[in-house]
Amino acid sequence: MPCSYNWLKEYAAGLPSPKAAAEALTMSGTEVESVTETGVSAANVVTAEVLTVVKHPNADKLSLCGVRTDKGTHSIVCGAKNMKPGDKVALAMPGAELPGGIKIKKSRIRGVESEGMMCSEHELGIKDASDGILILPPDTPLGVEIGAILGGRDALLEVSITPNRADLLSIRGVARELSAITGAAFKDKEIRVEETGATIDGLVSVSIAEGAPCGRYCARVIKGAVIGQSPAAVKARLEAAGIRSINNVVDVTNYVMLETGQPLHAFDLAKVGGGRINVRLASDGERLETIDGKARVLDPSMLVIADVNGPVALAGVMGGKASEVSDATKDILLEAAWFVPSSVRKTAKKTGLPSESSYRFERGVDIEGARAAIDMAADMIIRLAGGAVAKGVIDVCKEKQSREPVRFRVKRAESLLGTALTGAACLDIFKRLGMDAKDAGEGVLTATPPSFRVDLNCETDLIEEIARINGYDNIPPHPPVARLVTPEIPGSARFRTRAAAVLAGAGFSEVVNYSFVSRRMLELAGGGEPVEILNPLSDELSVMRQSLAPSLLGNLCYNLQRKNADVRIFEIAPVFQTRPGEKLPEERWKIAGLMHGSRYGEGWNAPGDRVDFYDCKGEVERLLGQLGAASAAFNPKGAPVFLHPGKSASIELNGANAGYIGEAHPGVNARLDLKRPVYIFELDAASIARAASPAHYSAIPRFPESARDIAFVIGESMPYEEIIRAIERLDAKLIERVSVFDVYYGEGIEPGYRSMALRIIYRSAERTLRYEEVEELHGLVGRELTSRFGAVIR
Amino acid sequence: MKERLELLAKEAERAIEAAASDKDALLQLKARYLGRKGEFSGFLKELAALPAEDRKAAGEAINQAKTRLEDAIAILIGGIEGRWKEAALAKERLDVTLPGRTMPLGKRHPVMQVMEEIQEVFFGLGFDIAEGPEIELDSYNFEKLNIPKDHPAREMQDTFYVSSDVLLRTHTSPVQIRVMENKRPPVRVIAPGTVFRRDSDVTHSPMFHQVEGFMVDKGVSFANLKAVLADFLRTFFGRDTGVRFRPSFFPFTEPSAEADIRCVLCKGAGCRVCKGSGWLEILGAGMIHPEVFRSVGYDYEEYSGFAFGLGVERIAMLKYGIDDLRLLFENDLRFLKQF
Ligand SMILES: [Zn+2]
Repeated sequence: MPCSYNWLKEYAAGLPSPKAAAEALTMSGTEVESVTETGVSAANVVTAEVLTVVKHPNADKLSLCGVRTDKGTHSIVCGAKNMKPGDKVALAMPGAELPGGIKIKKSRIRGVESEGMMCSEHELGIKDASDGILILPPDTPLGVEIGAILGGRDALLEVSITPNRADLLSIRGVARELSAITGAAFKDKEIRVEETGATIDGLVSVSIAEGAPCGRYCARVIKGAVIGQSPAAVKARLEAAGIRSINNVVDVTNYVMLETGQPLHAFDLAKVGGGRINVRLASDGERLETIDGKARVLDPSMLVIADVNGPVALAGVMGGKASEVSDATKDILLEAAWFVPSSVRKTAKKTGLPSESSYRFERGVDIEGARAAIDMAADMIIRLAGGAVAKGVIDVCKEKQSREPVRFRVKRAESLLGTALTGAACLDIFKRLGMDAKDAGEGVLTATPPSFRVDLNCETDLIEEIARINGYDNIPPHPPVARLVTPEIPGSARFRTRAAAVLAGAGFSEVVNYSFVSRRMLELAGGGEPVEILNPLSDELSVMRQSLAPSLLGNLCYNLQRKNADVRIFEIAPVFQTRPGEKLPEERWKIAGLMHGSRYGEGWNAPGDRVDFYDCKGEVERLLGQLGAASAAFNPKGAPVFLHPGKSASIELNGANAGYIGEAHPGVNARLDLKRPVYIFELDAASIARAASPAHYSAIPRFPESARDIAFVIGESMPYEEIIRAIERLDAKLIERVSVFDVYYGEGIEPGYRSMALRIIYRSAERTLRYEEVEELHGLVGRELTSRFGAVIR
Repeated sequence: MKERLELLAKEAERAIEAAASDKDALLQLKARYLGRKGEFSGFLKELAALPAEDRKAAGEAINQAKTRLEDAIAILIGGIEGRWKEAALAKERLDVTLPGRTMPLGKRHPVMQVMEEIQEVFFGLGFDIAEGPEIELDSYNFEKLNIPKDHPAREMQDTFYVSSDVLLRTHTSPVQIRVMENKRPPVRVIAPGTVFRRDSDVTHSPMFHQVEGFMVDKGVSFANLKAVLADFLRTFFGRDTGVRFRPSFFPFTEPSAEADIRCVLCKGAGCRVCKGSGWLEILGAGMIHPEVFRSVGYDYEEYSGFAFGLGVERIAMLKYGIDDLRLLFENDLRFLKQF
């Protein structure tokens, strides 16, 4: 909320400088985001009237104007086009210095003397840019310093008000707060309304329906006002607050709202049927055309201001089109009310009509402030628009809001804040904040918050006030004393951190993706009905991930487009799956990785090999080994369908599915326009954590090994693991290890077969094996391969 | 004989010295003086003619002279050969400035690195690590944190909904509720996690990361909050970092505070990053609100606690000098490999 410093000073004349006031506000909890110097600082710029406009004799683009001030008529050369005789303008006289550093003197322009300059808002330093010169309202007097008209030099404090401080949503409120913080005296304006008209009771009546969420409704009537433009100073203040000037009466309601925080509404009294205001809930299907020209269908949750014919305004939110103040309006019904915050909030939300008015009502307007505000507005209307204020105010007050005193224990405040306090100092702060505070003895104070502080209701609220006004800087930090116990970490979190370290060590870079993706990306990996976001930012971010793979594929595409061809990435994040009968979906942490491109990078000394399935599998094996879950089985069946059916596997730990690995299906590649194979794995973090076991020592062999090789041709569909297991089963004690050192397809081998060479390590834990023993065992291996698998030994 | 022996030894020494850098000449000298038919062997033959009592001393003298010469030649030849070897090795030179052969480089994401660093600091102070679901109940995300439905404070956090009462958590604070509902004080917990707000522009990402922390015990005070958080910020940003606390508002804490650090770029002079203020908002904190204690069944008269929340992306950006939030979610490897 922008706050004019000069406006604040109307309530607290002794304020420190704008910068100091801003700092004081910030350090007491109301952040001032910026302080901007504004307004006109020029002297010798006065109001004037354009009398004549003729073309410059020697220049097509220039005009020669006769301009009158209180001192006489001046001849001015002007480049602008937007003035006409009768316009009131800002004339910089010789000797004036404008904010941009321009010095005005008499000069000859294209052979014609110019005795000054008509200024634009930009030249006056009011706006960053402007189109043409500034045209002032027609009733502007002549010869007045422009500063006096436009408000003069000022500073605009951009104040960010927290939702609890409704009382600061006004100039008066901020000034009051500044006074409490800085000690500058706060002085309320004295408002006296000259009531010269008839008695209000004969003109209008107000009733509040039973159960309507309206606590107070004040009304005044002004008869015979003349609708027109507001003075420039009023317009300037509205504009600085981001409010468009409408006409003098509507401008007054906004001006007084900005100043006091009390939203007001002005009706054209002639359009309020019967002059009878009834505040009530709408009935279902009732209609109202609001000021913005939209037809609204109302429902019984909405509070309306109605006349004998139906709703004329949405209470606290927006007025009705039919009863708005227009140029033809003469008599005005002025409203200052208090509506229940949650009711206004609901209506504003339902109708999509947040307004300056609803914003204040939602947060809590001072119920005691309505009367002063309506008087200020009435007084201002007759000054700006003329007319006569009717005698008396209608003030229907449904609930008298008396505030309860709050008990405040000095000891409790000391213990919560961790600093020493005195009752007297606290009492002083409460008083500065406008509370009715007393010392109740025995370290207890009682304080009754003022009506405008709707946020103060309990002891802790008051403790915060003490801390805030004293300044947080004045609470010395003090390290806590706590019990020394070892902290806990959730089991799977530890695994995830370690997995990340292992993968980064293996050349994978970590990516962080949004948890939501597009349906199109999600469907790449399949997985049933996803958790859907009701109000997504876009279709691209509309469903929760069920697998990390689509995101990784997206990252690959993004990097390939940027010529990052070697991509090794991983992500560790939860995925989401709906659970029937449960409100919250299941969230499972996944560890996923993707490999693409060259195996060793693009080094001068690196072979140009590209990664393949076994690189990816190797990384998974290494990862599982590092995490203590090396016993994984790779099952050629059960991998998800977005993987190549022949180049993929499900990963099993202790017989339970724990993830998958494989090459992306060529169909996926085609959809993503990927030219080269992509390898992906995804592991379930909790499954790894469950399967992991701590390392356990087994004795280092004391007797020598005997190594024998065997080569054979075997049907290619026979998985390596089955062959190995068959050999190992022959003698669990003496066959220590079987490993493959060559696999060959192609020339010399019949199609459908492959040649394989194994190395078998024979060893006994108890003795050195005899040559004959080893030979016999090795012969057995050969026979097993032949008889069991139909292998041909080479 | 003694005189002749000395004379010959002197002559041989001079000859060796003259040939010191010539391996072939040295080998010839070795043969000429020390060989089986060399000049010293003549003396050995003369030994037999000596009287028995002189023979031993004379023999020793001959051997000493021979050994001396032999050593001298061996050292010189060794030196010559060593120089040859070094010269040969020097020709086998590698260009050591060529890049080394490594496996591809992998890096942790900067946000994750920072999140873990933050956890480590608090883990060191004995804070448990806790986690909660990213898809959360409205009651945990809002209501039990003193943010009732239709409360203006809800506007501070634009929310993604999954159903009327299930949402993507807008902060990590619901973990506070989940922990406190299940554990009696004393508790000290740090809760890192992903959070979501319906907001996307140059300075807002719809998903980002927070670290939530809180501590509840008897007598925990605002002075404690200041000490712990200032200590953390100085551990993270440097011992001499300026830290200030100013009042703020969060529905689930009271008193509430915002902590600022002296701008890491301009050191307080005012710049674009700190919007001229010289300070950077870095975390929100406060004493846990009595309504929050009520919702989890903690006795507000007996216990008190502080809580705080940090935006990880912001801290990572400050730490690494990253000037565009979007870089953190684009996952361009040229970016990721820098950290
Ligand atoms: Zn700075």
